[in-house]
Amino acid sequence: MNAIDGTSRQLKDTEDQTLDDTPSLLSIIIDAHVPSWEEIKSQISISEAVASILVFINAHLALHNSNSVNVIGYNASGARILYPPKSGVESTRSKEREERSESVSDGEQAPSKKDHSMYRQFKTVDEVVQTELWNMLNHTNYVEEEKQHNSAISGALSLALGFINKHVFVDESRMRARILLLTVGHKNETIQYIPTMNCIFAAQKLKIPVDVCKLGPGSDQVFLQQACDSTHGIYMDISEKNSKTPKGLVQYLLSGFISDPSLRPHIVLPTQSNVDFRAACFLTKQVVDIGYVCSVCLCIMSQIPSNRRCPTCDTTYSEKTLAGLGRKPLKKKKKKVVKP
Amino acid sequence: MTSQFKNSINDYLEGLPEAVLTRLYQSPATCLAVFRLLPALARTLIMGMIFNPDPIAVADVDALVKPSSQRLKLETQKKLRLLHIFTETQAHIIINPTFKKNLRAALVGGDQNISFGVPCDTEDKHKVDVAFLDAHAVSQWEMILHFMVGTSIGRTPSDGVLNLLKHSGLMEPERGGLRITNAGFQFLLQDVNAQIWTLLLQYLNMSEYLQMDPVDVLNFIFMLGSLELGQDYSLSALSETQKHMLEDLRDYGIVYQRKASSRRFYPTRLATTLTSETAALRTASQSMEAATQDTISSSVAADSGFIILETNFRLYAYTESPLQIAVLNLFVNLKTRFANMVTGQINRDSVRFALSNGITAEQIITYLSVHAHPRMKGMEHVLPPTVVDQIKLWQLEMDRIRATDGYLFSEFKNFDEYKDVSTYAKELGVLLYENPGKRKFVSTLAGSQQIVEFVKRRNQKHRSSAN
Amino acid sequence: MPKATRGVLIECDPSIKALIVNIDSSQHNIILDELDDTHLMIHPSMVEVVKQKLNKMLAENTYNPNEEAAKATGK
Repeated sequence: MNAIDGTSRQLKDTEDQTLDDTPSLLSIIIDAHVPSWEEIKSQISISEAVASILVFINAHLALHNSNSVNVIGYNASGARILYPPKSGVESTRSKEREERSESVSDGEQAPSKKDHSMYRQFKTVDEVVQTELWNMLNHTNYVEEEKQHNSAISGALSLALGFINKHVFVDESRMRARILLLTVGHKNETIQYIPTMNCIFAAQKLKIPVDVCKLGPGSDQVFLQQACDSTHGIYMDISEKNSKTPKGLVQYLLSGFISDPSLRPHIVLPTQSNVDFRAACFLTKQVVDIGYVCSVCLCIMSQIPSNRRCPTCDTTYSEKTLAGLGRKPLKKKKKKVVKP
Repeated sequence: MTSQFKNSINDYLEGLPEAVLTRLYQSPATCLAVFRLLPALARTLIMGMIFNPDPIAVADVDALVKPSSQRLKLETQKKLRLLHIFTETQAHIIINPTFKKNLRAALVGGDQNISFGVPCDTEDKHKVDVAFLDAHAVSQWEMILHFMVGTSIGRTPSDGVLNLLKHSGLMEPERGGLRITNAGFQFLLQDVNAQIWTLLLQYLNMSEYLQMDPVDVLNFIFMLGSLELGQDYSLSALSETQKHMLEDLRDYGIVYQRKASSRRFYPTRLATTLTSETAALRTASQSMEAATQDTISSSVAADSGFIILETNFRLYAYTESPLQIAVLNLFVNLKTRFANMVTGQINRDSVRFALSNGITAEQIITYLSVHAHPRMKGMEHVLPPTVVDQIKLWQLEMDRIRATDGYLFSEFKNFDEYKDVSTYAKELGVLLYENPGKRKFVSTLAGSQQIVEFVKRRNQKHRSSAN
Repeated sequence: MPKATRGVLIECDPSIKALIVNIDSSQHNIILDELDDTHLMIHPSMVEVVKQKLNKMLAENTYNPNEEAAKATGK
């Protein structure tokens, strides 16, 4: 008679061989930092990369008819949501596009309204993403960009997480979410470590995998590898350093990064990372074994900072504490043992 | 619910020969629709292979899937093989080139193809808006359902529809009219999307009789699934078969044409949600908007529930639609009708009446939970477990005995004879029941003949060996 | 030569079997053979009769609030 028991005992299928067919929301964060793209111009041009990204977006939308996508671009001056556009923006943009058809660089053909040979869903997304991304790239102040070395990865991640939170959790639609970060490494890039790590922890809590696809020749950013590792995402470095070529970006995207969150438990993830979990000093960027730790924010330093302030949380250390750190350990005088 | 239609359209596609499938894959819209019907692992594999010019090694696929999910991989490969998307050689998997090319075209676009429908360039003098299309779809569809249930609504569907209902076994001719069958009852309890697919699949089966090319029919159906609501499309892109189909689809309410000679048609919501999840996936914010704007009727987009079921088996349905009341009447003892509501009780007799008409307990329970009022859906159990259990128990009551026609074999001379014959019957697979203690067993009707002959042969052998 | 008899194999639980044996005691043309606690062979043409009689006997033992209400209003 247990067979008819209607009370739902949530017996988990131990084999779990059936895949749940939930739609997923993909947040793509694209690096729009023009100087970085300039550096790798010989390996891949921006228009080729954008075309690959658009095909990837179409592929994601093709996987399930309720899949949706969210595109965010970031550069030194900040991050911006490119798709879905604010309502009202879309209609004005299409009007502007029809009036001046040559506002895009690299001689891209203005997408025409008459061309309906593509699936309508793909077409709308592609058009909006393309125009918005070109606008963002065109309107950046090139000179200013070169001077600033901040990159707004944390801003972009926060925007992505906020969007996901609204659409998946607040609206209670049955979707899973993931984030893909497409970055072109810049050798002098400084990131705000703590805000970025906060975003990563938030993603970890919400079980949102963060994937990273790195194109440029810059060194492996350890924090990105750690981000992928802690959220069970995929980290791939497609640069000539690893004897891969960014020209095949579309194939890497479609084979490595296409897997849905619901499919991930069943396949071996193509992540390449030997994550360096060793601690690194915040001042000298060297790996430390023994060092000093700030008592407020727990940041690690290999030497006492010269201005007596912590580099990350900016607390001032008092003279007395710092003086105490320089002391050598006290030697206890040994009492002479008198033999009887 | 959408998984049901997936299975049946999958079965239909798997039954087609390879040549037909290859012709089918020449349309990017069809490739996209078929792609979406595949299991998740298959979709991921195919995506990785679309832009890859070389075939993939089987070893690579094996390495991709975790060892604990091997069964998934085998099922996926089998399905892809049946649909002729993959051909496997000794060590490599090659993807069907037509499928590959056209799926790529669907993703990349630019190729001048008409499989996604050609919208009209000229303005329509009698333009219709989305609200009109919705109302039209609802009225056409409900007309068919009302006719099936038997509530007189004044209009009867056209001959083509009646023909389809007869052929599909949903209704049977009886004394000059049509009467609903058991299958028809089950059809009524399905949700709109599943109902449309059932009819379309029947239409596909019928089309082979009518000498219509199934490839054209399927292409058109999948194209409809990718059209935009509110946009008119021209007939110039359709083949003769497809134009012919348009007349039938007009009767079902899937497309709208102002008159039969019109050069344009509008897809309705029934068409655009063909290949998507159950009607409109409304989010909380959208529902708020809709409530304040007072838009679309709720009977087509079956996402607003109206049934409240209490633990004392009483049922309250906030609906005025005669169709829904008629469906409820199939298994609920309706007692009172108010201006905006009907009340009744689910009891043994009403459920047994439904069961004897061929409706299963599962269907009743699914219908109730799909149309449950949003307040019920918020609770831990959508329907009270007592009621759910009781409906299932009533169904069990119906078949307390299982009867099978057969032959009883008894009076064996000795145990060896019994053992030989019963083992033979077991190997044939016709043994229903055996009792070694009493040396009796029962076999099916069909198998009895073979057993009798076996016994004769055995006896002859023994007699000859004894002599 | 073993004997082969045409019939219908009935699978049920012991309580139902007891009910069928009970029906048979008044009408002796139903059961061909009692095989064990849960299986019976009965005459092919008597299957429907058995089912109807079973339903009637089981219905007698179920509480039906509608009947109660009908009786109350009737009286």
